[in-house]
Amino acid sequence: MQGYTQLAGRVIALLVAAGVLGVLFNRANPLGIPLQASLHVDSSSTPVATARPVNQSVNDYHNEATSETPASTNPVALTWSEVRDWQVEHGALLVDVRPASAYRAGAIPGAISLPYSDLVTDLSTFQQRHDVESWLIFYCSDLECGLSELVAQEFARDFGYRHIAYLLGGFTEWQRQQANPPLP
Amino acid sequence: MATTTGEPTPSVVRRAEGSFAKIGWTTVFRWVLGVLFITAAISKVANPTVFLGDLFAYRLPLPEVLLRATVIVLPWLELLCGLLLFANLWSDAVSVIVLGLCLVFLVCTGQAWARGLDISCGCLNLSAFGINAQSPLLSLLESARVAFLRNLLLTACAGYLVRQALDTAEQRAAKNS
Repeated sequence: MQGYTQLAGRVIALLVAAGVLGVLFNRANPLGIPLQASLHVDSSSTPVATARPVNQSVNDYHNEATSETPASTNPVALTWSEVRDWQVEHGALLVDVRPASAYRAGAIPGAISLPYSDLVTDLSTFQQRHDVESWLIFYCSDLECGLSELVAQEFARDFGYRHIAYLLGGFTEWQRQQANPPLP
Repeated sequence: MATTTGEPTPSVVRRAEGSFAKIGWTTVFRWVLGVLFITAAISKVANPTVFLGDLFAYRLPLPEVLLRATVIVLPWLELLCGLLLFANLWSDAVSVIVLGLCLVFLVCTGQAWARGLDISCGCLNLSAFGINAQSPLLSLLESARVAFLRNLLLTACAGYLVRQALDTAEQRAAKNS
């Protein structure tokens, strides 16, 4: 019985030690993550849940971003029609953060592949080709994948990119739009 | 000791066999699990955002705050367990935690495989070591099905360690009584 008590004590001690170390390191680490998401995409709520107010149009947001005031460090959530606006007005580049195998199987035309799992190795090459003034729109598989939002946050917050967005619904949303194009 | 041809076994082979018998399966399993846990921990600590992305990709029905807490705490638990396995300290408690973690990993990778999710398991995140994870071999190693099979083996190793640790604890208790 005493052996099991000692065992339980050691297990709890290890769990507590890991928790304390993790929290302290995460606080000190510039790449640390917040416990609560600053942005949250909820399929049941309004499609735009970002720094851009719901009642502000995407063009107004861009005008603010390109004016003298510094652009928001929060990425913007875009619908597919807004993505088209970004592409037409600013030459925005679509960036596919899904695994390379998914990109090869099918991607949005014109998109380039930057798998999230290879960010560490591919980042410097990407940064050489696309500077911080580039307009970038990240997307992943669907509304629930969350990867595009994460990568977008990292580009805006940690790498200094000023015009960052992600496509709500990702590749699935684009496929849906191709199958059922909106009425003019 | 002689070989099947009747010739005496070379001393080098005898020494190797003796060394292995001295080391034993317990030590081999401790070292294997220790190396894997330390490697996994370092790669996760190096890029928490990528690890969080890996967890999201599993599409587990868990609150986001729990996934984020896992990203913050799990690598350090893996690192502590890996180091203690190497040092052979608190082996009973470490074995129990490692077995628990392996079972959780088994369930996560198993459900991903069963659902046909095309994801990187996030187990080792080899890109953190400068290795290109786009190569076919590494993509295969990181796939859910290979991760599940690997976790089966690791769970068996951890189960063996727990049994050894509990046996040792019982023997110690019997001696004391």
